[in-house]
Amino acid sequence: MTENLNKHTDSELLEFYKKTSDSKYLGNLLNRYSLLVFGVCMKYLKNVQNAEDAAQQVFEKVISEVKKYEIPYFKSWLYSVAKNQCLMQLRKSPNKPTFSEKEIEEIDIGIEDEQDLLGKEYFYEDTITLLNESLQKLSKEQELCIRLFYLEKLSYREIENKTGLTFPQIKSHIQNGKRNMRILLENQIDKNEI
Amino acid sequence: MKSENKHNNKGISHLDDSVVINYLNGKLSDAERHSLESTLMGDNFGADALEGLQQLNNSPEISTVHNNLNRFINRKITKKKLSQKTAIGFPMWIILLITLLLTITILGYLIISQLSN
Repeated sequence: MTENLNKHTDSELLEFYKKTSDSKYLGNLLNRYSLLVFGVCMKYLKNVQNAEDAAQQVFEKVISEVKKYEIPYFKSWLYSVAKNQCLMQLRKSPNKPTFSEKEIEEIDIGIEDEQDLLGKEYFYEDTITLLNESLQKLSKEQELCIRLFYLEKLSYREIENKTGLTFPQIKSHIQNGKRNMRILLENQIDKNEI
Repeated sequence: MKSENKHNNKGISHLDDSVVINYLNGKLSDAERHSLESTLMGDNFGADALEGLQQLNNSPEISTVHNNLNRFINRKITKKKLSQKTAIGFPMWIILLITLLLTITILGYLIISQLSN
């Protein structure tokens, strides 16, 4: 009978592979992420052929090196391998001006793992007031996008239709808005503590 | 991901290939889209991947490359399996055969030289 590997978590498959050296476990694990790795390469390399080549190199590297490392969280590790591969490729490429130095730096240092301000972390008594105050201090577009996405629970597509903003603009307003809110909230919390 | 996918009434909390493809094809409801987009706020890997795939405007190239990559992985994995067999099984078999032949030759030589003496 064929074993159903899909029921196992990433960590389990990795553990089985390391214990038994049976490649079916690694194969199943890598197939889970092939589309996402290609997507990441596509984001940074902006060309289908280059992205496919880069993704192949990522998987080749993973297949040959996965046993050498202790990997507590496979998905994050694979993401780093993919980003590093893209960065290397961008640095080697003679036509890299499509990507600014700032963007390359962003890949290099990794995108900051932002705490979700509207998640659990900051939910204590005065949070709602603080959130409202900081929301009002954002730019109009940032405030609008954050309200529509988090409070009215609209999708990006609905926000596009409602505001006339484009998908990348909405994404950027939400990300920048969140970052600004975090700074405002942290300053406010510091003030309150003093 | 296939193993960790959770599609429930509350929304989509994990990405898998079909969710990604349905998102790109516009086949998810607005509530599902919002749920996925919220999940991606805390998942840089997924967010980057979707951003990259969206550059292809839902082109059939996505599934072609996806299939190519899966075939590539399986081919590499199979090669690794074969090379593992070669490294462990084949030389051992050769070594045993050579040892056996050597033993027979030496024994034969010793017996013949004893008999001739």
